[in-house]
Amino acid sequence: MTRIRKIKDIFMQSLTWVASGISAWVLVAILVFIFSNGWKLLDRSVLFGDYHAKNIVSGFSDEHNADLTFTPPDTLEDGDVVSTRFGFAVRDEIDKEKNHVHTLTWVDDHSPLLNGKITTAGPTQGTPAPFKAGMNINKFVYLDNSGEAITVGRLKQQSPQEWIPLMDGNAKQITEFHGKEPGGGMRGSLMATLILIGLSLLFSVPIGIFAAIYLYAIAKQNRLTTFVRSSIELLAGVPSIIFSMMGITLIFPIIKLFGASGQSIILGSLTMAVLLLPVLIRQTEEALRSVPSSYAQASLALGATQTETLFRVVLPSARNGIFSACLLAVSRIIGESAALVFTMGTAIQDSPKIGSSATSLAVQIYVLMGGENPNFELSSAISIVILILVLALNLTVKVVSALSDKKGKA
Amino acid sequence: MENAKENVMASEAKFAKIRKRRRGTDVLFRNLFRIAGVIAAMMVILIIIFVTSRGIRPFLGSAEERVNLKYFLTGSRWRADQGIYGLGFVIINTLIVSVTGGLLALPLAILSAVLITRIAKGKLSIFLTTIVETLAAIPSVVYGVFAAGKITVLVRDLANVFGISTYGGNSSLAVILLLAIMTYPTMTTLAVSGIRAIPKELDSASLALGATPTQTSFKVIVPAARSSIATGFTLGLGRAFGEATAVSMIAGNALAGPSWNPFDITRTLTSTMLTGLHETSGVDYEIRFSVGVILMFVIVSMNLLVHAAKRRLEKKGGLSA
Repeated sequence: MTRIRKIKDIFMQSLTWVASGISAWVLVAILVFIFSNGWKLLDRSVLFGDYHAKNIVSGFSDEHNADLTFTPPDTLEDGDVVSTRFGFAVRDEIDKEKNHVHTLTWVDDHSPLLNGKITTAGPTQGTPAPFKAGMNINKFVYLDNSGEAITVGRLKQQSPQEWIPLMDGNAKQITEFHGKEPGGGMRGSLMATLILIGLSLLFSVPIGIFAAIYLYAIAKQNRLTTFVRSSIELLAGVPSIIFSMMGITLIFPIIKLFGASGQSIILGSLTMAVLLLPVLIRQTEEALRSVPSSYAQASLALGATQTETLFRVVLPSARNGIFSACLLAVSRIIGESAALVFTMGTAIQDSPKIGSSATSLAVQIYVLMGGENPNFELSSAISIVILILVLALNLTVKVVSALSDKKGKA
Repeated sequence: MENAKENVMASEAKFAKIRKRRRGTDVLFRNLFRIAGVIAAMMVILIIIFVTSRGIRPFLGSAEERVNLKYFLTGSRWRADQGIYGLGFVIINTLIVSVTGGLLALPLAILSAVLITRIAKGKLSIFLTTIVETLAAIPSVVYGVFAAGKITVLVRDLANVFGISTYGGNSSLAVILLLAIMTYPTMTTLAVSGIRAIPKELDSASLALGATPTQTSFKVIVPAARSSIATGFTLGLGRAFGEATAVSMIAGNALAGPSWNPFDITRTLTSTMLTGLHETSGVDYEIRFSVGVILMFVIVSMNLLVHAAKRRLEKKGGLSA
């Protein structure tokens, strides 16, 4: 080996290391970026809270005992102003929309704030509306000793340091409190994603498995089979935004006959069902092919029909592979955005319904990133959830296939 | 005796009935399977028919509403607000960013595949494969968030070094880098499986002739796997052309073009389809389907082109791997 050869070899080898190093670096950069932006935001209120802020007016219509004294916990920080008579603490903060808010940082378990009921007229009047830590307080109305109603709070341009001692000192009883449940949560999109997963699989899995069985057991070596195979192959290469267009032009007219109107979760699910077919068919057929043909032959030899053999012998033997195919499909649904933008819509909903528009987690990110001021924090927080789900699903697929490989060898 | 014969005949008739029913079930299910297969196969044809029939609508209508097809295909300005729909520069922009991104990713993918299959052993090889698989699993919106928050900043800083101002880093270059990252896993995976499929004899023969392992990797194995590598390149390019949400976050949606300057904002077919999302009727809405038709056409032509190139390569090399 000449010296030049050696140098050349080392050079080419180090290039391969550089190339893989770049990919590793990119992966780390993505994870660091997403986690550093989203992790601090990711808590219960973001995971399970509403996206849209909600105004709440709660209070008491009857008299109640107000002669209590509460002791605040040690966990309160500087700037938390405590009401020892009503058992809560408030902090003056700037919220995501850059407004001053008075946020509840502590509410005692026996505080009257937890027992209020909605006082505004309407169907919800009288239902409990507890004020919990994390909500914003806009104003309080209390009766003083002379029975006069006094209003205090942020809406009166008072700082917590002003209005809390005033209320603690003068209130005979509190009658009404107005506040806001801050938004910025992902519960609605999380629910919509779950509905979407369920419906998409419901439509897609039977057709996918049946088509895979067709290719595995029925299809002969002829033109039709070649056509079916290459069509499914082609379908796998269609960009997801084209599936969106298909949802509008092909599927919408069909579901319109059943009374659907415009963008909806059902339209999104049907679109996803078509998009998932190639993945499901390919994986299922592979799983079916990995079942030893002696199983099917034994079953047929015992007098079972082809249908019985397929459903009682071959499919159960291939269940791990089919399960993996479904998991991959779920992971695809969770990550999909372009196919859903036109079919499911871009309006973030707090209580999604099958027949109306909603956003999945991925589409919510797309919506948040659009416009003048992209919301990196919430987008990253949702990205963390998506990443964890998708990577966990992929890991499960690997584990399942490793397990069945082991079983196959043993 | 008579009785027994009758019994046999009766049971035979019963069996025949059962057999018939069971055969009926078989036929029923066989047809169900066939229908499912045909439905799945029909989808791609239905997609082409329905999207195309919707996509040609803007060019048919009445004279004053009709969009000029020639300008649509060759025009260099896209002003939906003024009713000007020139997609020509968008097609060129899409080709530029996708092909450049793909070409940027290809050597990295080949080098990584060589490392994974031929240099790294055992756990390290598995670890490197896991990195590629993880990159492949990350959904495109997440790539979009990363691109909008990190890649654009990188591009903006780079432009500042040259004294060029950018639109917050939204630029062709940012899209190219994003697409390179997004196509890399597909290309690497295909290259890895291609190299793994090369018969061992090729390797041994090259080594026996005195070539070093590295020489063998790059002069024998990689060329032998070029068919898989080309397939990976096509698949990667397909993803690059069709990538919508992530690209639209950083493209900047230029109103005219083509954008030759890498620091200038750009506009791709997909980002055009995603603009004016809230329109639900009118030419602005319908034109999206026309853009979709062009996108499908671009992807199909690119596939055919790479296919032809692949065939030529195979002929030239005389190797069929």
